[in-house]
Amino acid sequence: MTSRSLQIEQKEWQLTPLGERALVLEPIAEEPGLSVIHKICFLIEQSDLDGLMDVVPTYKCIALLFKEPITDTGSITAKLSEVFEHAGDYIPRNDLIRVPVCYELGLDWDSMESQTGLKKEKIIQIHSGTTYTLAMMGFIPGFLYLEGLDKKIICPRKSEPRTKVPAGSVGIGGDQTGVYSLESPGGWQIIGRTPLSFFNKDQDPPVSVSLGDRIRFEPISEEEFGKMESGGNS
Amino acid sequence: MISTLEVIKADILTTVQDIPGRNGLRKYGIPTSGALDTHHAELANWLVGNPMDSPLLEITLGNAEFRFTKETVIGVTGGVAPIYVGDRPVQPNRNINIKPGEFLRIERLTKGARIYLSVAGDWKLRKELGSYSTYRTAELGGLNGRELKTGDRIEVDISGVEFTERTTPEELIPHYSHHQKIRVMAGPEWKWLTDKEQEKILELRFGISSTSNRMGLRLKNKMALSIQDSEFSSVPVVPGIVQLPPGGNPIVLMHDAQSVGGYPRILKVADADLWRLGQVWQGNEISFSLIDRRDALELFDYYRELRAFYLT
Repeated sequence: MTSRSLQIEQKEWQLTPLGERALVLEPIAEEPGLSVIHKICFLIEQSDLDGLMDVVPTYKCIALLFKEPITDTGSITAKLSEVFEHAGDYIPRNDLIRVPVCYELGLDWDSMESQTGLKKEKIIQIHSGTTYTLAMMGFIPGFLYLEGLDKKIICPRKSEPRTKVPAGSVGIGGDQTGVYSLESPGGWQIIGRTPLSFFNKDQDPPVSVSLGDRIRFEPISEEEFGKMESGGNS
Repeated sequence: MISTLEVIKADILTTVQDIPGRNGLRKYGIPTSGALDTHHAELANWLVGNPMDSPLLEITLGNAEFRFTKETVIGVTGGVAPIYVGDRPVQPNRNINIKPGEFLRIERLTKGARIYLSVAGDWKLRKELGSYSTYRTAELGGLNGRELKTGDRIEVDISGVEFTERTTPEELIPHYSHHQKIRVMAGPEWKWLTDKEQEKILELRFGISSTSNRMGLRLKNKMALSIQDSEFSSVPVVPGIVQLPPGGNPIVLMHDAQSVGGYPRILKVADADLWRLGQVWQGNEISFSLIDRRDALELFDYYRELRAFYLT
């Protein structure tokens, strides 16, 4: 089965199967930008598309996962077109979340310095001086992918991923920065740790931030980190 | 009335799983989880008359032992292993009435990779984020979000449970062979490979790496590759996607896999065959055979109807 095209706000998009039970919605020509991706996700989630279980945004496309195998892409395309045609107002999220980070707890300062040619202090200044946008979550529960990293501190992932990255680690992977909400394996360069946790399975939803939220990192000392961590911050 | 399942021995990895797993949470990075071999998990629940979405145990490689405090009806399916109730050898693929205090011993698997143990009745466990399935990374589901250990106890309400003999229909018992041919569809980045590379992937027999787990089946047989992932940003993935990292060893994503991934998605295992990969382990080999999406949908329907026909 091939792709179907549809119009979203005068732009051409296409819907292509990913296996039996998923469809990927992506722009045909230009990249849409995060706010458009997030808006589309919001509208699809508000619609009552039959059997739809998951809407998963990434930087450039959106996956729709269904309960049953999809045999009729045409009718889903038609239904989606209708959703976008009658879309109401969407107010993008604009919350500013301040995330304290202890950069002293970074694990990869040597490679960060040698790869960027900058001193640690300068990297911290740049990293904490930028406002990022929460682009997507994934990889592990509550892993925050943030857009907006300054080009000067881009750094490739580690060639050998760590088997254990501590929860709260703040890292750089290519041109992205992000936060590991849980301990897990990982290949990003770790430059610090936050005492905050963005994943709580007992809350609904289990993640306390939303797509499109703006995030700023604020340097804290090891002492402050210790206090906040034992204070049970969430 | 409560019968308590006591874990005497759980070996490398025994977890509570269910079949639908956890859905609707992938945008938070929460995977589906659930039984890897859905075929045998369904059979196990059918054997004891439980609803198909009931929790059950997934026992990796066997070598496990359990005991029940009351007379209980259980079902054992999946990989092949000698099974004993007390000193008495019992057959898998039929339900078993086990007496209070009797030991159920499942020896090490001789074929396959996972055994499923169902217990008739209502398991006294709490769903977390919509599922009983254990997902250890986030300590979700199952028993305190972790694997079972010696001394663990799970209560099952066995009120109203009666033993009536049930046997898995022969037609639904798979043949385990050392080498499995797995049907796949082309993935979104399949066309990035040269014709030669495509041909080679479909010809190769892949070994299974010891680093395989519930997240992914890591295949061994390095491909020399022309594609590089330098500009590739994270894209959506689902269980069954075959990723090709720059090192050239493919990874088949399984049920605990992430919701987005940064490697080219060269193939997608047909859902009709995905459960078979739950029974593959080191020492086995798999190869891929390419089908189109329409074939995959037909296979899905075929197996669904086959199960519906026999499991009435």
